[in-house]
Amino acid sequence: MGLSASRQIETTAISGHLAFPTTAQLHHINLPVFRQLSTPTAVNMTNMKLLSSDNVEISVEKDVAERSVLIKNMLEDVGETMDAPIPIPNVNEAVLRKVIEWCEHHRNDPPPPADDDSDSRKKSTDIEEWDQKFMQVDQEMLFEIILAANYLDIKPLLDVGCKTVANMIKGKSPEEIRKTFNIQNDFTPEEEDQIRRENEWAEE
Amino acid sequence: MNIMLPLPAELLIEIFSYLNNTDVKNLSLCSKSHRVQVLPFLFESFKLASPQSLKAFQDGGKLSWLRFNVRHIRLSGLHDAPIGRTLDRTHTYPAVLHRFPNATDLTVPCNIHSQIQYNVLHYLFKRIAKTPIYRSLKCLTLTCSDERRFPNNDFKLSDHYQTRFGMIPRGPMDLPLALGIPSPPVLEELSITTDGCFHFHKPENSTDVSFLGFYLLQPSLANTLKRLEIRAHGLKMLQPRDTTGKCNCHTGLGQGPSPSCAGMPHIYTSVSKLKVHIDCFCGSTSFVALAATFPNVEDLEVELLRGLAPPPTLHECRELVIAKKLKRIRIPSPYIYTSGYEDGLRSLVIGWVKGGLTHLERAELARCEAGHRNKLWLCEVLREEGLCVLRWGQARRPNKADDCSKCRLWRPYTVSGDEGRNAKLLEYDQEGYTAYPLPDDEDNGRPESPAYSGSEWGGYSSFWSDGFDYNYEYPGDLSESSGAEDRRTRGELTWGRETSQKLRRRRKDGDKRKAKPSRKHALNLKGGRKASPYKTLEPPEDLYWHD
Repeated sequence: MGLSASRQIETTAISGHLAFPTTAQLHHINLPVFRQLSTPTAVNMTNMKLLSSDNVEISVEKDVAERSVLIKNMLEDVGETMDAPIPIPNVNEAVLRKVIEWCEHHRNDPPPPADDDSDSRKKSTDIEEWDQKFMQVDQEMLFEIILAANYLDIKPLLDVGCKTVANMIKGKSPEEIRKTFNIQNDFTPEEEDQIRRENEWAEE
Repeated sequence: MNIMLPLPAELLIEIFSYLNNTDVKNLSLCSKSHRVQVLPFLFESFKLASPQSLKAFQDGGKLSWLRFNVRHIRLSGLHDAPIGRTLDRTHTYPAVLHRFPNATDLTVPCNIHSQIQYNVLHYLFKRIAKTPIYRSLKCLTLTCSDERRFPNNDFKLSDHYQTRFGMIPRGPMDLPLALGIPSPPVLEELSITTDGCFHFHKPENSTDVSFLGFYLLQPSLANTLKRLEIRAHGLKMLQPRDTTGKCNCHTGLGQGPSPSCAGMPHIYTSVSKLKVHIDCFCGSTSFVALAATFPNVEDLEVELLRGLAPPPTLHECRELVIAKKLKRIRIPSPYIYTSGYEDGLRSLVIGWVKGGLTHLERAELARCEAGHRNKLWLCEVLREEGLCVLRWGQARRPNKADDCSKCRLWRPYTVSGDEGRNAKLLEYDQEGYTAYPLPDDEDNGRPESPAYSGSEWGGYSSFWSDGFDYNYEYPGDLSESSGAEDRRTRGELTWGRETSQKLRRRRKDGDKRKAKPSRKHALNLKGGRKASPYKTLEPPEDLYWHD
């Protein structure tokens, strides 16, 4: 058993010589802790503070916080000098930290291309690998992140959240969806039949 | 607790925009509260078909509260029912359309026998034109069979239907004198599918007449239409008159200008997106005619059924410079007889850019000759400070069957998903046309160390080597270089090496299964957007132990 387990690690840990992954490998796997350690010092490291709904101050670099359009606009209105923490009344500490983690990873993302192709009726639900891992949280947290992203106006994070939820529904049978979201079925079999017939009238 | 999505409506809409209707249907089957939550979205598009569906939406009907949500209506059952029932439905459907005041989108699949199709469509549209939704109709999708053969006096419907359908005023040769149906006043999008040849003109003294052609001929439509799509066996259009008033169209082979030809009656100035999917150009159709008829088109897509039709000539393709507004072009790549296919394509795009297509952003040239399946050249035009840079790449054509599967035909314009993202790109500057590789970027997995540059990387060294062969194997000695080591530890090289070893092993064992890694895996290697490939590949027993 030990043999197969260590081989498993080696398969993941690529170089084939180390049983324990190196920092570089962890960097590749995108463990948040190591990301923070290995992030080179940014040139513009103005720190600022955010105050979560449960009154916890969180220090964050300015350019990271500015991923949020809400905060960005707020800073622009107030001007450069901003020592007092900015209150974020709708978001609690755990969620705020999670959102900041996302912003830190995506701090250098280019602005999304202007999406004028409204003709593509259905959008793709592809999610970047790092974001997929980032979104592996319990459902309560997931919805909180979506709400926070909406409130803070972080469009890319909102998109990732919505895609994650959509992927939880996509391609599943009603029974599977019920299981995923822990839903009680309150239809009688006759009602279900009736609904299936009615659904026929909607386009595929 | 039955709250599945504790989210406000605007976020639900966002989430549902990622789901197709089948998923929404399944969601509605989960519980009563979900059904209520989801129904307004589900019935945005509604299929008029069975009598029960009509009943549910009538006054006091079970779903009548959803009437205002219906945006898209499909008049189904006009093509798969017995013909008598189809004829009856053309009578009943228009009568219920007023129940959906917000519908802006109508789909009419009507594949009935060509001999009576003209009559049926005429009757149907005459009635639809009287409903209020016709005035606000923005999007119309029409599917017809080839209906050129106009019924003569010997072929008549029974009296019952004759009184209903046979009211078209007839001229000589039993041809209809006028359509008598106005076009929808604000129609923006028209999508037409016919298994015959689509005509852009009204032939004189000919029985070669079609309802669709008539319908499109109306002057008012030429002013409102923004997006036009035609899927047909062939496309026949005549060039607009030139400035001297002479029509320079040619009918048939070597006939010279036809004396009876009136030329294209309209120029569709408002059309910005044009998609033509045909088996062949026939008659005088060409890019010249297309560009002259749709002078303000920004997106042009022409798909020829590959292998059957000759692709356009280089000269014809060059003529697209008439359409100055073009931003995106996707056409079959031209026949190029002279040596150097790539030089031909390059000179074509440069000719466009220099000839006045100042907005051109992207050109896609799909090779449609037999034996060149799935080849597509992309060219992105980047403009910086007066310098114009063409970035070339290759990709696979999107699967055609995929494209045709539905009647809702507008598809994203660009090459889909991975294909586009992973297309290998090379740059050419406009002056010297010399190739130089792009700066390294993770997306295309280009190596940064000099050890990898040049011919070792078959796919990158020259433009015309097969752009899709991602299944390269890494030379064994690469592992010695520090660059390789670095990249390998970052997990970017492993897969190729592992595979090559595996392959060698397999060959030794005479195991031919999976002789080549599948393209799916190969694509996954790039950019690492999906799950890492090496998780799914089972390494050989002793791969890492006796190395």
